[in-house]
Amino acid sequence: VKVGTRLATMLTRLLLLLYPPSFRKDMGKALGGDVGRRAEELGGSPARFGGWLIRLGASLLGNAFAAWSELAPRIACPNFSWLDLKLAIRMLVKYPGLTLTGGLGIAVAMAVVVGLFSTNDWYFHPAIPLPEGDRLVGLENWDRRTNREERRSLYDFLAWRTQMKSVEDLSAFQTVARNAIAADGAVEPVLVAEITPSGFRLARVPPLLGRTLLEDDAAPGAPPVVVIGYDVWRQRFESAHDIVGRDLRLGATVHTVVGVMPEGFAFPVNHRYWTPLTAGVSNFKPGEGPSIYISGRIAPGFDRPAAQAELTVIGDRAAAEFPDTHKYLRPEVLPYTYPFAGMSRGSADGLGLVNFLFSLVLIVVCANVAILIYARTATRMGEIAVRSALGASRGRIVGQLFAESLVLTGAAGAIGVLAVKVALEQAKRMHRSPEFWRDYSLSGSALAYGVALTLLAGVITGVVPALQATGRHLQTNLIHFNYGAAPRLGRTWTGLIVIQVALAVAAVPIVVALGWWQIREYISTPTFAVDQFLAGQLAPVSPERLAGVRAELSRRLDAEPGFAGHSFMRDLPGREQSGRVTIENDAASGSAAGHETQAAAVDAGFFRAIDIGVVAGRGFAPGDQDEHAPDVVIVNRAFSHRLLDDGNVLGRRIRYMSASQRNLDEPAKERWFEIVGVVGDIETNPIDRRLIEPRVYHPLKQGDWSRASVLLRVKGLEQAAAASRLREIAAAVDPTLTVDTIPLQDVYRLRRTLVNTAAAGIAVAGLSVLLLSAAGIYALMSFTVAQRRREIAIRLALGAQPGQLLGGVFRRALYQISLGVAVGIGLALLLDAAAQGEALMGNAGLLLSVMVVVMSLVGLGAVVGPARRGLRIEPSAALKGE
Amino acid sequence: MDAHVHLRSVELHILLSVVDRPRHGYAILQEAEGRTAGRPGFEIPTLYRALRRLREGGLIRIVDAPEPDPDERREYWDATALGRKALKAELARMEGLVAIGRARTGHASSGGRK
Repeated sequence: VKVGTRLATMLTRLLLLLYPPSFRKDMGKALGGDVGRRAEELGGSPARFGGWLIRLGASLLGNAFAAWSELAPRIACPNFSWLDLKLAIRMLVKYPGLTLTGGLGIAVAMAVVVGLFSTNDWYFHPAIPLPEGDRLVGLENWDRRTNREERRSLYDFLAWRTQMKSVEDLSAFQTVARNAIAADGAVEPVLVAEITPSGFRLARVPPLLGRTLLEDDAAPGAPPVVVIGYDVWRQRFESAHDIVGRDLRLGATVHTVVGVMPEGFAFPVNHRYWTPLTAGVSNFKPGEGPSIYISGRIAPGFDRPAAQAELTVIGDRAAAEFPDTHKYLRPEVLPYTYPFAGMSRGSADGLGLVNFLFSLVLIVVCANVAILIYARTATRMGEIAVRSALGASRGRIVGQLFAESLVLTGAAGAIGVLAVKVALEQAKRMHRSPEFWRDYSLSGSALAYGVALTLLAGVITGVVPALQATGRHLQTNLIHFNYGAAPRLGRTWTGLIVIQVALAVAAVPIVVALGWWQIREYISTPTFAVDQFLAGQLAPVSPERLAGVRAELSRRLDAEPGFAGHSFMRDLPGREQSGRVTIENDAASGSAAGHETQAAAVDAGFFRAIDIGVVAGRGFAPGDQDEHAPDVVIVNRAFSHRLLDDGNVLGRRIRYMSASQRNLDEPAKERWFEIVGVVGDIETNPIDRRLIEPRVYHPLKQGDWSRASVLLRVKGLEQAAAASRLREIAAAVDPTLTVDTIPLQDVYRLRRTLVNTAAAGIAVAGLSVLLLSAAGIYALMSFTVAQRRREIAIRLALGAQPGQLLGGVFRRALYQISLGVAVGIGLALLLDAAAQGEALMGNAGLLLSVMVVVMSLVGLGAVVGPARRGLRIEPSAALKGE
Repeated sequence: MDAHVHLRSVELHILLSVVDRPRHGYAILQEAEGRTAGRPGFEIPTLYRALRRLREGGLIRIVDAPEPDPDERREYWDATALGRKALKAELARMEGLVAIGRARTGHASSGGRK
């Protein structure tokens, strides 16, 4: 009942957007309330509810038109009437095939385009829910040499703060992980914003209790203080009113709570703890210090270009003064959220183009639907001609046909937008701590975009065919109607069929190949007991303390009765990094593409910990983890089997194709890794062993500890209890060592959910392309044959052989389909080549031949029926009109 | 609006419902359903468009809820003098039509409905 009520309410809210604003304001609330009540009443019976929902949607759409025409009966809609709408809805019911295929196609395309538009909105134009939020900016140095941002800019921050006039309340922060340690020793890893006190002036949000940070708090030697968020106050301190002045231990330091921020406050990003940024702010040389984010507010009387101009001058001065560090740096003033999304000034430039390209998808789909509708309209030429003869203006007839298509595109568009809304809500549920500006409701601009696209789709699918049908041939059509013949369409039709077939042949295999690629990963399941393992990501440990911390942590974990073994690694199973490798002296991998593999760095105990045996060669020895040890790797059986045919594996060398896959600072192209062992696979695939992904294991080195994880086998403990025990042990070894825990099962579950969602999306997209194309081809072919029915009948009457006549019809169809198939195959291969084989995934032969067969069957099926009907016509009946 | 204008079916149902006492939209719909064995021939959006039309024509108006209503979104509607006149005129018109129909089909004045 609840779901039904929400569905009906959402549908009503969406379709009410089509109404004149005055109506919405006047009646919207009461109407929505009644819809909700009715939905609750009917919710118990799905069949009655479904019928009512369809009637409600139709009524909402119909009344939208009527409400507009009541508003301005002469001007706004000269050619619409309430009757058009009734007719339109009747047409939808009368041609269910067209309604379903066309509607599905438009709905899917609409969901893709509007979905993309609203995610763009998130990144590029989010509304910052703070006072004067639209004046907040982010400032950063862009390094033209590395083409990425340079965040070690504490020195610049101080310079900008004193010199800039156009940006005020300049503030800087960095996020650090800390262990919040309770009096009873319970440990919770939290993210703390170390922020300059000016950050609170920038946010302009007063505290709920106590005070925010002051400049004195950031002075060297000041007592440590912390401001906490509303949720922290509620949960950790049970909303205590004497909270100000109480202690909170973060890592090794006990802080005094000086204030509580109000509910929902998470400035600067998604923070709940704030401590002053004290790290000797003034002691850093240019280009040194921690990585920080800088933000500020555009001062009154200035705008962003003015601020950029001022900052550029300051940047030029710094480049002259410190050429070593600042020669290639270009300071930028960006919209507030850009630095957090890793975007620079140019990021938004391509936005319009991307939106346009995706809108093209919708236009292609609409063109397809337009062809279908045109084919239907063509069968009604007689009716149109008669109405025209009886005095209906061209505008009147076009208006009616437009209303018909608008009902279809409107309903499909509403479903598409609804799907985006549901997806956004799903995303909200999956995102644990979103940025404070992130709004998961469908934005007004995205909705407006959807409505505009719906209208555009209506114009393409309705007005264009209608104009075509009511054009200069109308009189000819009337004559044809009189004699019972359909209008001639000739070459345009042939062209359309060829394009239809070509698009289907090119698009469907690619969609299917990509879909299969996703699904086959999902089918792989781990071979070891994932549910027994707990994973924890460790905070970075400084190199000097690493050896001690690691040994002590190891010792304590070994001594813990609830844990049966542990291992350290950089990449958890299921979270390896993809990379392309080439194998030395390997003819097969001489190609530029290389082999896709999953890479992980693990310690010597990893394989033992997850019960994976060494098949050939050796496992890792502690010595391999030494910084200066030779570069060795271990591969899994899938690697040995798929890439080396189980031949000579040990002693072979591999290297990565791109520097980004391993350490950025090293010239990776020169670095070769020797295979010293082969281990069993950590996953299995019931369909085909060859689908198991090749894996490469590296020994865990010191540099990998900047983002290391620990994997624990849990024995006789609940996962939650094990997680808190692990955090306590880590904090006991080093109070600053935070652990972000997750059951290993959840890592796999998350991966499966993502893959499932993607696979479902691809399947829906592929299916709608296939359906739409098949329906289009069927409609076109049967229409061309229907056109020739009279001709066939007459020739039959004159003594032609039926076989001969059928042969002629089939030859023409065959010619059209073959041409389309040839063009489509060419297009598919071209796309595949452009995507370096990642469009068809190496299955070009199989997929394309299947498509050829499917298309031929669809085409011939479309021909057989009408051709046989043509043969059955009584020649006398066919000739009666002559 | 002219009181002698022909009323649509949904408008007739609205006036019939609000002529004796104020009612909210959903109550009007339920009443209409009661009168037509659950098939009033219109949906909620049509009802609201008609309510707006009748109000702009001066046939009905919004009044305060007769007793406190927990749902504050609800508006209560009442017939105006013009609305009552229009309803009477419409009923008289219909009675005239019914009389003609009966006379021509030979039904007695107390005869069953067709």
